[in-house]
Amino acid sequence: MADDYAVFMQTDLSPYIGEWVAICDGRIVAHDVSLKKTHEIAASKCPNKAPLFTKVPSSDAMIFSEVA
Amino acid sequence: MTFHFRYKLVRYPDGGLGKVPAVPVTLIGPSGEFLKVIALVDSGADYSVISKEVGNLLGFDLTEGKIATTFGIGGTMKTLQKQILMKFGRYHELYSLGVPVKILLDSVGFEIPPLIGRAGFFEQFEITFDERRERIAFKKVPGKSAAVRR
Repeated sequence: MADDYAVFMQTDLSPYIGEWVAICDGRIVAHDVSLKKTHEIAASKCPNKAPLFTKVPSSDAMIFSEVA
Repeated sequence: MTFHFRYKLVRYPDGGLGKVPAVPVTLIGPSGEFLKVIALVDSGADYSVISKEVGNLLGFDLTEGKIATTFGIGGTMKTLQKQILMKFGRYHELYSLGVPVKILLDSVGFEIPPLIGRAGFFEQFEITFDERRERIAFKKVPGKSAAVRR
């Protein structure tokens, strides 16, 4: 995962805003708005490996608190 | 030992730039399905949060469990609380953490990345958001049995 994490850190992911991105063997192997589809494509391109997935947010992150 | 992750430079849809505390973590569901993902560390979140899509992929039964109303900047939404296993760390220092997680059942209009909130996680580490060095530091708190060093 270390190499995939380095690729995540070094890559401008703005072309994929709103999408899930899968990184495997140091390169982007899949991207789609659907995590399921991204996962399927990544699994076919990187069999028997564990890609690193990241969601490229289309909006700022949210803050969560439970309503009493 | 203390381990660090550098902030990730992100470009927002409006063209602005930001730096966020994004860390790699492996999420493991009830049947052992797992996903290596980038999660945002969110000190303002009471709980860790994953989307319904992530919950489905990890094999959670989303028809069973306590549904709660959860409040976020995006408004209120229905969530389901489950227990998730997180494998987290860096280099030789890797921990397994059982953490409560809220699964978003409602659409918030956009897909959110996984968030690591405070419950079950923040008490395991001394966490420093180092804005000057643009990195987040984790130092394991001794004696917390929920974490296992591997």
